[in-house]
Amino acid sequence: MQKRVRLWSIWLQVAILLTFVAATAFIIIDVRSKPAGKSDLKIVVSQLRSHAAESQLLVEQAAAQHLTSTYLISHTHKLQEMAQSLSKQLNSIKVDASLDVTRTRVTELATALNNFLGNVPQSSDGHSDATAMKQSFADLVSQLIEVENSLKE
Amino acid sequence: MKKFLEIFLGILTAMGGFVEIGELTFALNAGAKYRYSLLWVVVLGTIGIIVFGEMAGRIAAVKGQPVFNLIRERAGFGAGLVTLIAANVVNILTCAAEIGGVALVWQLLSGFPYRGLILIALLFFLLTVWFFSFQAIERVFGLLGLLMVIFIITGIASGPDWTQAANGFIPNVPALTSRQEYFVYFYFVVALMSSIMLPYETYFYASGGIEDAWNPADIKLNRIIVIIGFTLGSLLAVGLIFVGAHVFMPRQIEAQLPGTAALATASVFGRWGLLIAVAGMFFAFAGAAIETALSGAYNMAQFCGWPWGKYRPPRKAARFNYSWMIIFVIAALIMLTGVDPVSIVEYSIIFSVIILPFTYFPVMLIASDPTVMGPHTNGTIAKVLGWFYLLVITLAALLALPLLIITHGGQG
Repeated sequence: MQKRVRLWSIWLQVAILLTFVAATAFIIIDVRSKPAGKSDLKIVVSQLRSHAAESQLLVEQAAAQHLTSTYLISHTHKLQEMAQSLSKQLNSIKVDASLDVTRTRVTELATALNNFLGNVPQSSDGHSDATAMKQSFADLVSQLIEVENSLKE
Repeated sequence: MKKFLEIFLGILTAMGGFVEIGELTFALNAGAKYRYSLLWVVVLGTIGIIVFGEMAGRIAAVKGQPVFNLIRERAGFGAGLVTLIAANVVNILTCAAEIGGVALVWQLLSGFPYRGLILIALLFFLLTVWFFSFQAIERVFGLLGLLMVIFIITGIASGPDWTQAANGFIPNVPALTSRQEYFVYFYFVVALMSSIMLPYETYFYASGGIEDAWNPADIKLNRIIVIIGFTLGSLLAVGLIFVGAHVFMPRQIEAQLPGTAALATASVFGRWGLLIAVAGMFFAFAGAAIETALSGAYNMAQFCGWPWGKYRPPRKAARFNYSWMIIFVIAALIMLTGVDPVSIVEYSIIFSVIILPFTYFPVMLIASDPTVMGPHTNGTIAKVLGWFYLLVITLAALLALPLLIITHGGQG
């Protein structure tokens, strides 16, 4: 029985290795057939869209007095850090010339998200400010969805 | 009465210890991306962990042997060593992610700097594991992890479509628009199943049975705890999928932070919902951090034949005690580099799928061997389920890495 286990272990290790090699080959072929950086750009856009949508929910909940002030400040700061990190990531993505305009637009939207988040802790105290802020995030989400759809094949 | 209390506490502990940061993230995002379509994976994974958890617990009760003894004995030194290294890399990565999760949760309550909180968390874990008994650790973190039930209540309060949800429990593949989206769906299938069947849970559970001095009389206790406790625990995963489907999907949010999960409970129950969720996540992540560090130390000690166990005086199990301390320190150092805990756990979950067959195959063989288990050997149902799940996890192990790469870590 022990011999069977060892044999089985070896076969499984070989199978995992072969699958890994096949997957790598598949990815190389797949990547070559697509415009450079398109999928990377799409991933960044979808993350920005998610952060913008989350920021909108955050502002709504803050306005409804559902959050503690420490939570609001900490979580907003985390979302801001993530938006900044995505902005940096955008600069490092290599894209075809045809996608340069899109990248510039996404960078602008990332900057806008970062700026809006910078205003959140102050604005959540006043209801009218919160409503305006909510609308700003909602507009940002719509624009990011539009870009995301344009990047889908 | 004492036995009843023991069973009751065991069930609650198994339930409370079911969710960790990886499962939280994958379950929320599974709901946010595919609504109820991945509920069947929770059922598949839960039955799987029940099958192998029960076998590992039964072996511990009958033979007094934990999982890594069996792996070395049955798979041999070479394959055993590979499994040990892989298992402990996964344990360290998972422990790192849980420490990061604890620091993030504390930051939501205190606003203190993240890196400072990681160091405080490290100190907290070292002192807790050093001073608390195994039973105290198991009970405190398991029982207080039950605060996570707030996610089940939120999931139900946010109004599920019960007919559609019931359909989600039947294996299905939703209609998607591109090949890439199908890859992402299957990535979530593999990751969600793996997050439920994480191997450290079995290492910890079987070693815990030995820490608790189980004997063949405890086989029924083992069975009841595993079946009821893990089933109730899976309700937490279902609750998280509901939360993802009802709160995050309509808003197109993908959870990447523990704070995002708390935002969902706040939206339904206000400030109390937020605080209960944050407290629940703390106990769930802290419990998982301790379990992974101890599992790593159990694995090392059992493989190398060192004396081990929290029940022994530290001097009599010195290398075991050094092992869990070193694991905590390495895990904290990883987090101090600034790496995102959720990204780490995503990778650790996918890599843990790869070692699942190596972990569970020896368990299956021993539990089916009448010369070892005597009258407590696997019955027909256990054998059929055991072989079926070995097939499933082997397939998942083969697909895990390619899917991780093709889908850019599930991001599309």
